[in-house]
Amino acid sequence: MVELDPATLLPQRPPFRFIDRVVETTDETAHCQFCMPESGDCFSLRMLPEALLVEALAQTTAILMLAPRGGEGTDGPRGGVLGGVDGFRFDGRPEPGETIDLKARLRKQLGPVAMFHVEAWQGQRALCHGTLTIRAGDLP
Amino acid sequence: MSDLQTLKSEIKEMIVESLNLEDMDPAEIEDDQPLFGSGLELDSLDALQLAVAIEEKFGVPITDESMGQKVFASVTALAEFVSSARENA
Repeated sequence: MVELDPATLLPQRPPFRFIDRVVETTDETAHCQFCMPESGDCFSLRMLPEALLVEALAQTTAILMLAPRGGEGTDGPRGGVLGGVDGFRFDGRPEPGETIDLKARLRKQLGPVAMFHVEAWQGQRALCHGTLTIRAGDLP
Repeated sequence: MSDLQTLKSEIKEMIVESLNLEDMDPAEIEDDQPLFGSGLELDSLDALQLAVAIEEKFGVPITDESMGQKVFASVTALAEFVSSARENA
């Protein structure tokens, strides 16, 4: 299986791309990883604020929506906007150097709008979970 | 109150609750008022949230966008859809 390159799928660029590796995608799930940098402009506080953890999970849903299906080309939308953040619970913050597992599962889709259950883990430690709603579409 | 009228009341409450329309009384929603566009002014994000709420509350799935456009025309259309789906289950 060819590993997907997040840089070719996502419009975000460092330091605001929070996906280092696409571990696995299926038609309804995506599993990605992000390694917390030890330093850097965005991480001077040496922690990932909750808002950026939500952004990392939104980028995981984007991977799921934008990844080619079954070896087909990428004729679908080339981007999307975050339309809803609901029911989030935060249980912990990752530390610099730790790898975060970011998981998204499609819950429901109507046309270009899709709702996902998302969760973030550091090893066996749950960091957060919630629901994201995304509207797919080409970026301007 | 008829079964369909009871169902309409439940749907109105579900709309207000699931879309967090905190300032709206469910009774303010008219049976035949369009839910989208010039009516209740819901959008495509609201449609998806409503579809999830209907599936969870009534066990009736709305499977695609074209079905959603018909079903979400009004509270009456939505109630008739849920009622019909229950009878055929």
